[in-house]
Amino acid sequence: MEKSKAEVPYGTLELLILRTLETIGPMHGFGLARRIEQVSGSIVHLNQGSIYPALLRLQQKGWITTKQGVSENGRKAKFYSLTVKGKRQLQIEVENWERATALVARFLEGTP
Amino acid sequence: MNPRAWLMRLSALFHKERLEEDLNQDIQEHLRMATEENISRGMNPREAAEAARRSFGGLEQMKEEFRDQSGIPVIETIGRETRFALRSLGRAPGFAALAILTLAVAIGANSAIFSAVNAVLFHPAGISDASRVVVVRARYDKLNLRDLVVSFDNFKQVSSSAEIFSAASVAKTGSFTYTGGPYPRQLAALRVSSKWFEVFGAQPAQGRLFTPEEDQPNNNHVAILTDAAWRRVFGSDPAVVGKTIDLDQLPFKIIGVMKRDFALGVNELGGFNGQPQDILIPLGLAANPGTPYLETFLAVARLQPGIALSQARAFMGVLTDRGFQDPRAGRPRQDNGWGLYIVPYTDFVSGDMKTRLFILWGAVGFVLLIACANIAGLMLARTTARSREFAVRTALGGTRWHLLRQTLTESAVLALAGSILGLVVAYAFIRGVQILGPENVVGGLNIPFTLPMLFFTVAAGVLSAALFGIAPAAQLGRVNTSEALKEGGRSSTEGRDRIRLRSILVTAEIALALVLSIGAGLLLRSLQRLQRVDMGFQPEGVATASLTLPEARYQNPDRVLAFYRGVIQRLKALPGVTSAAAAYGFPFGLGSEGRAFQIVGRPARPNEPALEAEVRLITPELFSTLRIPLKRGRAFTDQDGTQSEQVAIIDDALARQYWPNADPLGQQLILQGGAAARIVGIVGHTKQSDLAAGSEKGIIYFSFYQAPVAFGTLLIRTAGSPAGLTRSIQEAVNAVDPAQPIYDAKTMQERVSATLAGRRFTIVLLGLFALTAVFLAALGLYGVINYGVTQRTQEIGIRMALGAQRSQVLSLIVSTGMRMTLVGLALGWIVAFAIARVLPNQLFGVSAFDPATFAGMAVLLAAVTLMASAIPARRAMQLDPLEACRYE
Repeated sequence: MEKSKAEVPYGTLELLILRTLETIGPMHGFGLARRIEQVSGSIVHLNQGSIYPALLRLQQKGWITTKQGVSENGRKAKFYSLTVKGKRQLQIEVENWERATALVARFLEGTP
Repeated sequence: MNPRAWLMRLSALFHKERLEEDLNQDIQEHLRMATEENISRGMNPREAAEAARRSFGGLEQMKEEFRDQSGIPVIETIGRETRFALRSLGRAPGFAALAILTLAVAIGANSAIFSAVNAVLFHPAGISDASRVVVVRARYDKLNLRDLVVSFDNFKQVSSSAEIFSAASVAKTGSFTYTGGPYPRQLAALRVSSKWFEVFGAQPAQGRLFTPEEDQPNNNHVAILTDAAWRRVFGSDPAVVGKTIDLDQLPFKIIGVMKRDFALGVNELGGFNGQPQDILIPLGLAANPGTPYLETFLAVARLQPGIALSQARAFMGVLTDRGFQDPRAGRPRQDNGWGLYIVPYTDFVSGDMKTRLFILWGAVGFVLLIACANIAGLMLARTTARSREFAVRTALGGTRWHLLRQTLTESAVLALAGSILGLVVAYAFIRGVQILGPENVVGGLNIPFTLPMLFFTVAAGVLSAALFGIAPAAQLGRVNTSEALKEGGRSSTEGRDRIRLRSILVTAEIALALVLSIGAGLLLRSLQRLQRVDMGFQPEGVATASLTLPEARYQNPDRVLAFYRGVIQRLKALPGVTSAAAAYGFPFGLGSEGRAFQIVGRPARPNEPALEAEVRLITPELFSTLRIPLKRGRAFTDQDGTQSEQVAIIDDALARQYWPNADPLGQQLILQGGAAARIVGIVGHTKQSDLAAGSEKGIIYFSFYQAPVAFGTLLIRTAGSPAGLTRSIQEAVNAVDPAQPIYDAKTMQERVSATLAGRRFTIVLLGLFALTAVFLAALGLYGVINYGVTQRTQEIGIRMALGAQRSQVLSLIVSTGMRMTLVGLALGWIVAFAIARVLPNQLFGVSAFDPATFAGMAVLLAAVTLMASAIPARRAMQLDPLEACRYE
């Protein structure tokens, strides 16, 4: 484990999952984890396993749903996809996040 | 959290294994994909799998997070703790069984008494909304008379006050001969006005109720059967409604059968503690029967919705004032402090039973406390025994909260099991009481299993768990990990603390047990005193049986006389019979009534209360049959007939009361509405219906032969067993009149004894509870002492090795027990002194602080505890010093 890599900040993982599902459509857990790793590159370190509890949380909230499907190499796997509610929620989350980062950025860049 | 999440979590509780399996599959799949990807990047399979696991992260950690997220952690914790508690209790089956059984008995007794209280005092069976039903009574304060039935006039005022009472009704008892069956039968009847059922909110099981039109003179030839009579007399005939039956040789049409639980037993004095009546018949009174003085009706009413009891009470004051305005009777009423008042039905019925039930309730409460103390003691002992287990768990990272949670769960599991078993005990207890209890106490007592009872049982269980769970939980804080972990380390200080706590608990148990024993003892002594009360007559060897001659055949008084003379003659001819008599009104029997009278030549002065006496009609041999002593003058003879001078005999109580300085013999008295009678004799006073009652009214006897009545009771003294005489009495009666039934055949002793039945039964139950308490306290003491001996085995061995005598060891151990006992007894005395004041109205001839009972019970209890500590002491004494010294 490289020290320069931070853990995924608490609470952001869910946003990353929602966003990824929106971009690539229905996907199984491993695919999601890999995709998030690829996109985040060397910024954060993701324990791939930790997406499963997050996926469960999102299901409980009704933002994503699961379906049995077949993976690219022909095996049965569980596929996750966004629900209508989840799409709506993603919008809200994104706006919230942008507001929060803009705020933090303003504090960090200039003198308030 | 949103509802969907809760739903998912809730359903997860039940599909735990499938979820776990699903997750494992997902993980497997994930790892496989990762491995394949790694291989395709050129790693060898082992490296690939290794790398996949590495990038997956902590597997167990993630699973734990997933589990926390998927279920409801609190419930899972409870489930886990419960399983753990069950396992741990399963390892100590003796302890668990003892604790659960003790609890079950204590909780069961509490639930049973609670449901009795609930049923009897608050929700009597068969009556809807019983708290709204009141009984209307009259009193004469200046005559010291209370609880009297009322006149028809008074009833009409109540029934016409619709703003206060939604319905009102009156009733009188009666008796009819039913001749439709295989043999003539006497049926107890209740003659009621039409709204009787409305007042009690009772509905028929079959048919209908009376209409107001049927409650008119000469139109009242309809009858409603109680369920019991329908079953017993009419063999549950499904077509009974609509049939016409002969009662006293008059046709009555059966129009309905009441539900099973509506079985009121109105007695002659207008109380509700009699045998339930067989049939109900409309009273059919004229609009204005009798004079306003004629106070002979049991009146009941139902309060209008929204009218409080206090408002209705105030209104009775208004009616009382109105009664004073009545020109016919106002004056004497005011002079005698007359008044009308109401009593809530439930209070009225329960009467003595109320106090007794509350005493019993208190007693079972004590038993439950003792049981809890005992279980707390047992749990403390367990805590000690498991201190190393606790220490290990603490050392391994278990927090105090974890240990506490586990102890509390154990308590809860015990309490739950105890409560469930307690319900079974309660059921058995109630059935037992109904089967074994005396008929006149528990007869008609209907104690259903109700929701409140279930709640009470659960509450008792929770409370118990809290009570016996606290002590061991508190002790947990004192577990000293390093001490307890030491090899062979005996947790010396904590052990002593725990022993001290257990000693305190046992001391309290002994105190409570003493309080209960003293209570039971005081009641028992009262009963003894009551049984030794001089009743003024000797009931032993006397048989009785009642009869009612139907008016239709016995309109002529001479026929009545001939009947009784004939029957008495035949009875006297029976082998073993020494004397026989008939009476209307006799001690502990039917027909006594209070009447006003005047003394000839002593005019009543204004403002002076009327003279009152009990009146009895008797044949000459009643005095010899009951062995009532003749003090002066003469008894009645067969010559005192309708043609000769009216004569009367009074008892010495009446003589003392109204002729304190004169000789009543030869004086004349006049019963209200009767002729003058000359006093020819004075006999001893007899008790009338209550052994405990203090001063009672004096008695005037008239000769049955001068005033024959259709109602009567035969009394027969025999040298043999009076109980076996019933058949002979029936035969003697039928030899004179083959169609005449007898009823209520009892020995005189049974009649006297029945008045004590409630008291006796209370004592049996209280005694049972006291015994349980003593047993539990002794068990608790035994447990502590025994444990102490085990703990001090080494010490005892050393003492013996150093030359202590075995007797010294014995006294060392016994004295520990006796110290606790003495403190407990002293505490018990103090508590008993403090609460003895609830007893006086249940006591007779014994002070609530009776020193003999206080001392006697203490000695008894001390003897029991001595035995309880002697058993472990003997074990200590017989220890082999060598073995003991090595004991670990």
